[in-house]
Amino acid sequence: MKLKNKLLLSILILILLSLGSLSYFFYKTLISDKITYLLEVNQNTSKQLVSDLNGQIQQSMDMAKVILNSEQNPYVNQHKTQFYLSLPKNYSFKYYEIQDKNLNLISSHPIQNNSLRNLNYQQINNLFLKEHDVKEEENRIASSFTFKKDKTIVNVYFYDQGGRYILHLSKLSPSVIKSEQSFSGLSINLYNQNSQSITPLLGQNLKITAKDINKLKHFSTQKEKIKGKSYYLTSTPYPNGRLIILTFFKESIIFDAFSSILIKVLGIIILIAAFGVFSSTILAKSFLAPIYEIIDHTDKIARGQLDLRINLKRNDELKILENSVNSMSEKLILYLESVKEKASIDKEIEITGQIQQKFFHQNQKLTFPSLEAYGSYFPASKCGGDWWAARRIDEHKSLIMIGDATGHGLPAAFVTATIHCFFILYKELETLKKEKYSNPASIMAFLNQVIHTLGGDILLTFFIGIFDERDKSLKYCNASHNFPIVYNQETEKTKQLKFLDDSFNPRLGESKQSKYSSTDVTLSPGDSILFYTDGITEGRNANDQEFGERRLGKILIENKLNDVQTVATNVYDSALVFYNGIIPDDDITLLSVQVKS
Amino acid sequence: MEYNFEELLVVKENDGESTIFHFSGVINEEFLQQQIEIPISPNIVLDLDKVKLINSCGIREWIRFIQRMDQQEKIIYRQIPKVFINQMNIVKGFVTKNSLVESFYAPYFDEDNDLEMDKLIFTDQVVDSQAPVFMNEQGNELEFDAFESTYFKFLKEIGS
Repeated sequence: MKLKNKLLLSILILILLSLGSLSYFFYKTLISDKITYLLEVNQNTSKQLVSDLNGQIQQSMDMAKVILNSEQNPYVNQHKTQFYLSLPKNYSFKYYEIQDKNLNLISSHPIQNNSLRNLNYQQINNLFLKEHDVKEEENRIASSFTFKKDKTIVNVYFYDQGGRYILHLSKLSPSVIKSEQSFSGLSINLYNQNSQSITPLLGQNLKITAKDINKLKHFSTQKEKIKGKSYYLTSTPYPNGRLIILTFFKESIIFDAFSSILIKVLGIIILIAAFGVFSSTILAKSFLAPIYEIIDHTDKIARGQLDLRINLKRNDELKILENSVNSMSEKLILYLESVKEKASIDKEIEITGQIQQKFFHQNQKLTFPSLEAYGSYFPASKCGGDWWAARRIDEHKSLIMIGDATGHGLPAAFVTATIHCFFILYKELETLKKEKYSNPASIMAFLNQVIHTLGGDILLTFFIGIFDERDKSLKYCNASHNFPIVYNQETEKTKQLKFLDDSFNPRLGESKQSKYSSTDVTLSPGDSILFYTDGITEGRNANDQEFGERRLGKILIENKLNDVQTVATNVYDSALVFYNGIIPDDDITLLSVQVKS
Repeated sequence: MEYNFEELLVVKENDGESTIFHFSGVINEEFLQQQIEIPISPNIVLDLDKVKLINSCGIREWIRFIQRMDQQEKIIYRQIPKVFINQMNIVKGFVTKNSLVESFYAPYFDEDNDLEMDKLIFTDQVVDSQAPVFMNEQGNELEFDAFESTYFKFLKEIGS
């Protein structure tokens, strides 16, 4: 998927998730809050109704007491007519005397248009001997309600203690229920309940049975399903136990309102998401355009147009990227130049190595009347700083030389080339000045002068030996080179190995004033000498162990019966086994010489 | 005071009578010995315990370094590693006449356990170019892993 689309998708998901979560949270909170409010309203309405009804009855009872007093008090009775005229118009009463189970009407109010029906004795019995719809008071007071849509009639019956009189007071009040639909769908129904059935008194918009009522916990709001619909109901029995006040609202009415809110919220979410997509498209374009430019530029760099530079005309983090890309181009140019230079140098080193091989064979066997020699040379790089040579000087003498220039590579190869030039010219020099150049020390001194002219940074360890086959003597001069090892077929232990270590002179090139001296040793037929450079003894394996001189000595003893070529080969092979894959980082030269029997 | 070269660290300290140079790392062409100040103190101590390697270019620089100390009364070598001993024996001028060797390492081989090791030897332990004897865990003698005639040659050239 393209970066632009990923960016857009990410922003869209983020917006939708955020708004969705927020909306869900608000929705849940709103519902919970609204339901709590409506539940409270539900309960409070029930309580208020009970309180209202109680208030009505109490007012009526108070008025009844006053009327009773006026009927029974002779003094007040004289003026009762005027008193009754002052009564509020919503009150009416009838006052009876009870005689032999008959009720005789004594007085009534209003005198005319009194809508109260006359009571009969049976009705009184029913009022006071059986349960009615209100609770019977101690002083024989009963009360009842009649509910109509627009009015409520409170009836109070006072049965005096003597049993002689009864007052029926009726108060006409406005309806306790202001409207059936209030508080956003809250309904109020009133029922008269007996043990088996309920009779609706007011409000008929909930078809409920006695069984349903009995399931309810009175005085608390609960959610109930009645005839397939959910309602939040509060059931409050009026203190007389037979009047049930039921306040409720349909669940669906609440959620109608919430659904409306939800739709509006969804609409807002969609709008915001659309705006988000639009904004992020603009933003993505602003981000991605320079990135595409950089991609195009790097593509050109890959095709070799390194001299191109990019200019994004930005001042933000992309400017840093621009600078990095331009810097990378510049460094690539420099790098390629250095690679070319290195390739050129490598080529020169390779050529040097090829030239070196022409005058310095990797493997060469030389046979003189009394000596056999086999030399092997293994440079650490394409050209090296080791060197060896051997030649016959005259009918009796042979010259052996081995050297190791400081370091390796081109500079060291240059030094060996210098030595080689001397070697080539040696015969002429020796002929011209025999005394000087037939002595190893003199040769060494001359070579020192030659090497010193090279500046003094490249030095050479060197060994020169002149073997005289007449007396098998070897006159040698050692300029700080590794001591050659002498052994023969009788050598059994390393302690029996001998070293040509009696000549100790400075390295070639160190100082123009260096002095050199040589010494003699007499060899015997069958004696073998190994001349070598320190590349072999100082080579290390992966455990950082040095091959060492003693290991070298042991291998020579093991090969004491072998010819010079086998000795050199076996020594080198043994070293390679010891190095175990680690490539030596110095040149190795081995010159195995044997005095013929 | 410290001197940091490519692969070599030289730490100089003074203990009153002597100036001590502690070398650790590889002595090679990067050892710009001319940067090291040679003090006037009579004795110079060269502690070479942590020298891992010296190559041919390093030998060249070392000799130039030592030659700058020809005015010192004594150059005392301590804990010379094996790689140094090899050069001291072969290269003329590697040590000077005013050098004194206190201690050095010598190679030994434990045949029983097939182990190579370097043992620290004090100069007075070497008598008549004979390597001192060491024993392994099994109580057997360790083999001196070099040629005694060549390994202790440097002791004849210098003071000890």
